[in-house]
Amino acid sequence: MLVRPGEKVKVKVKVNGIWYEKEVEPRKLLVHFIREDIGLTGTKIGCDTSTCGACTIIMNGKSVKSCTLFAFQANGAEITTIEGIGDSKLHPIQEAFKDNFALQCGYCTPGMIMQTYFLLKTNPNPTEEEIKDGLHGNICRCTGYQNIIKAVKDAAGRMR
Amino acid sequence: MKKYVGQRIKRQEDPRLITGEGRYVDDLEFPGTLYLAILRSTVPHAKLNRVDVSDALKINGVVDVITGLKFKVENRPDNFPMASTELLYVGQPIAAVLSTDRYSAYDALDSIQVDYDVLPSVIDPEESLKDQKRAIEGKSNIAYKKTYSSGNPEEKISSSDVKVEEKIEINRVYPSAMEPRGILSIYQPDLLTIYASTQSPHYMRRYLLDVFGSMVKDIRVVQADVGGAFGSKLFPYAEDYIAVYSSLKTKRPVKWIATRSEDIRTTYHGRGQIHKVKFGVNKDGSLVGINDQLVIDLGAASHGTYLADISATMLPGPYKIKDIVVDVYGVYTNKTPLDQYRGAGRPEATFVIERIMDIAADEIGMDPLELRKKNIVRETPYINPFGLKYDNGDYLNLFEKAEKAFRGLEERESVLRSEGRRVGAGFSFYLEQNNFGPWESASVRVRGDGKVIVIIGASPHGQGTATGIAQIVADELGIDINDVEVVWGDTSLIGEGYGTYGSRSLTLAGNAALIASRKVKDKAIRLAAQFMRSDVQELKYDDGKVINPKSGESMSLREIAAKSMSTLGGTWNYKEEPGLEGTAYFGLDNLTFPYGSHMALVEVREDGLLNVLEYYAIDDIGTVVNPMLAEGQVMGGVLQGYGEATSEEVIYDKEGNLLTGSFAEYGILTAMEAFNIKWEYLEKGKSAAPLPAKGIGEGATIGTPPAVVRATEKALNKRITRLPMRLSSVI
Repeated sequence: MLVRPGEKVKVKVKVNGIWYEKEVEPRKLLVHFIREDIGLTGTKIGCDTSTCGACTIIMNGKSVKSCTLFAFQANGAEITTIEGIGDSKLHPIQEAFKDNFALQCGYCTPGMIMQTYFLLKTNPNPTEEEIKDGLHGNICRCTGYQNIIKAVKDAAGRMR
Repeated sequence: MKKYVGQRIKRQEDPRLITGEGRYVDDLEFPGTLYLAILRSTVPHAKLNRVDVSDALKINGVVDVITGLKFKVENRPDNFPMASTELLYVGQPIAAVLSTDRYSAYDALDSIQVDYDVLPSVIDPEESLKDQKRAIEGKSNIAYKKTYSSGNPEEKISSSDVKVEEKIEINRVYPSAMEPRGILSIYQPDLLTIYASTQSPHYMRRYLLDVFGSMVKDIRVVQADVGGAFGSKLFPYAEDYIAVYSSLKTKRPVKWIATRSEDIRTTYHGRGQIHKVKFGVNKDGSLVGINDQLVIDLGAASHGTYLADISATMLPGPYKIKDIVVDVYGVYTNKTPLDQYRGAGRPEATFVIERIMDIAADEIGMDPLELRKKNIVRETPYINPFGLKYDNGDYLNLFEKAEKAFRGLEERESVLRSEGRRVGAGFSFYLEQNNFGPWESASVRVRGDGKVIVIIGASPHGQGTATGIAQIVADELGIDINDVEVVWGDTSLIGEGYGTYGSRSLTLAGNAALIASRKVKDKAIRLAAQFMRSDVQELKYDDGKVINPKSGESMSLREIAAKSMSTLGGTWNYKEEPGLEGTAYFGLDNLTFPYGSHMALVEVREDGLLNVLEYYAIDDIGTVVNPMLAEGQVMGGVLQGYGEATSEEVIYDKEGNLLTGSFAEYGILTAMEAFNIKWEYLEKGKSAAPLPAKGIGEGATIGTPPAVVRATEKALNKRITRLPMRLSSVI
C-alpha cells in the first residue's frame, strides 16, 4: 500500500456487527479510530507503551491491545468492543464482575472484561494460575486483582 | 431499623462502568474542541533563554501556541504554570500548543525551538541538605525546617540499655491512577464549565476562581468519572491553569489529556523521606527515647511540606513513647514536585516506628510482639507527645486478636523453614489518622414520585461511597435502597463541599446525609400533620411512614410526597411550607484514629522475587457501613503497599533524568504478583459522629509495607531499612 504524505487511507471495519467505512490518516492508532471515528469510548487508553491493557478489544477472534495497531491494519477486520459483548442484557462476564466487586474506578474494566472474554473462549475452565497469566497484560490499580480473579472463575462457571 | 447498614450491598455505581458507558474526561466531546499538547522540559535544571514557536504556528491545524504563562498561586514555584526563566525538573511545562486535533498538536511540539543553558542539578535529598549546589537559583535548598520535640530524648537514649542508629529510606512512588490526569474547559461568556478528573470539583472551582475570577463570573466544575486518584488528583496542577487560560483566550472548548509518560513526569510523586533515627531501648523492652532527623525530598516546589508534619507528629504511633524529637527538613531537588499519595505521611511514620519496634526487639533478643505490647497505649483517649488526641479504641484487644493469628503464621513459618525454605512471617500494628476536614455537605430531596435524590459534596471516584450513603439514607428514611440515588461531583448541585481525600467521605458526607435525612423526616411529620389533620406531637416517623399511634392512621413518605405534588395550579392551603428536602453540613472537632494489624507470610524465591503465602489484616474502623466496600479498600491498598515494599520506585539517574518514565519501566504490579488477602474487622473504636464510622481508604497502604518488610527480613535473616527492598542487593 502506497500512501503519499498528507493522504488518507480508507478503512472498512465491522465493529460490534456494524460495518463502518472511514478515511483516516495512515498513522492513526486503532484505539483512537474506535474512540473518535466510530464514537465508542468504552475502550480506554491508560498508557503509551502497550503495557496496561485498558484498550483491549477482540479483533478477528483474538484479543489485541488496540493501541498497538494502526487503524488501517484493521481493514476488513471484525472487531468486538466492550459495548458489543452483551446483547440486550449483561454478558455473564459483566454479571460476574458486578457480583464479585471486581472493579472500583472502572477504568481498566472494559479491557479486563475483553481480555477475560478471550481467555474464556480459549480456556473455558482456567485455573487460578492460568487466570493470572491470562490477565498479566492488564493493569488494575484499585482492586488488588483478588476479586477480578474470583470474577473470572465465576464467569467461567456461568458460561459452562 | 437497620436493614442496609452493615450489609454487603452490591454497588450502584457498576452498571455503567461494566458496559463501557462510564464517562471519563476524554470520553466527552464538544464541537469545536481544541486539543492542548504541552512541551515539557527534558532536562532537570537549566536557565531558559528563549522559546521560538514560529515554526509550530505554521503547522496545519495549529490555532495558538502559548509560552511563558505565569500566575501567582499559593505554594507553587515562581515558574508556574510554565517555565519562563528557569527549568526545574524533567516534565515541567514550557509551552502549550492548541490545535484542532490531537496528532497535529503533538506534531507541533517538535517544531518549537528551546534555547537553554544547563545548570548543575540537585537530585539526592541528602546532598541538597548541604545546600552547596542550588536546585532553584537564588533560593536555599532548605525550604522548610521545623522541630517537634517532647521530653528529653537525648538523656533517655544515653541512659538506656541499648542504643541503636539506623537510616530508614522511603523512596518516591508514583500514584499510578489508571486514568491519567485530564481536563476539558468549555467557554461561554461569563461562565466556564470544566469537566475534570479530580478528587474535588468544589476545591478546584475555588482555586481556579482565585486566579481567573476577574476574567469570568463563575466556573462550574463537574467531576467526570474518575479512573482512580489515590490522593494525586486533589491539589492544583499547572495544566489546570494552562487549559483554563487557553479556553478563555481562544473562547473555545479546550481539552488536555495526559499521556502516561507525561503523567508519570508531572503528577505529584508521593513519599520520598529519609529518617536518620537514634533510639534507646531497655532490656525489659521499653522504648525510652527517639531522635529522628527527617528529610523530605520536596522536588521543585514546597507544597509537600505538610506530609513531613504528619509523619513527624504520627511517628509515636500507637506506642506511649514520651521522649522524642523529630527535626524536619524539607529540601528542594530538581525532580517532580512531591505531594500526597494514599496514606500521606502516615505510611512513612508507621514504617519508621514499626521498623524501630522490630529492630529494638532484635537488638535485645525479645519477641517483637511482646516488645510492642510493652509499649502500646492501653487507655484512650490518649494525648501523644506532639498533642494529637487519639480518640478511642482498645488497641490491646485488637493486638491480642491479631497475635493469635500471627502465632499461627509463625508455626507455619517454622515448619517451612525446617524444610529449608526461605520463609518469614512479619507483623505490623498501625495507628491511622483520618477524616481530614473540615466538614462535608449533603442534601436529601424527596421527589414527587417518592424517589429520593441525595447530593453529596464529597467526590468519590471508585470507592463505592454512593452505595454506602444510599444504605445510610435508605435505613434512616425506612425506604427501599433502590429508591435512593446518590449524586455528586458538580459545583452547581450543592452550595459548597470539599471532596474525597483522607478517608473521610463515608463518615463526613455519610453523616451529613444522615442528618439531612433526619431533617426530611421532621418535615414529613409536619406535612403529614397538615394532611392528616393531626397535631405534630401526636405523630411519629417509623419505617418509611408517618404514623398516628392513637388513630392508627398513617401516610408513607411516598404518599406525603405525592400529596404535596398532586395538582398543578390552584393554591397551597396548608400551614406548612411545601417541599421535602433537608440539607446538612457535618464536621468533627477531632480527626479520627482507626487502627489495625497486618501480617504476612512470605517466601523468597531463588530468583529473588517474593511469594506471599498468606496475608491477613484486621482493622478497627468504627461502624462498618458496607463490609464489601471496606474489604475492597483493604485488598487494593494491600497490593499498593506491597508494590511500595517490593517493586515500585521512581528512579532518577545522578543527573536527574527520569529512568522510570513509563509503565514499561515503573514497577506497577500485575495479577501475576497478586495474592489472597483475608480481612476481618472490629467495631469497638467508634467515632463521635452520629453514625460512628471512621475510615478505611488508606489503612492498608499504612499497615502493609512494615509487615512485608519484616517477613522478608526474617526469611533472609538480614536487616532491611529501605522501601522498596531491592532484594537483588540484599540477597
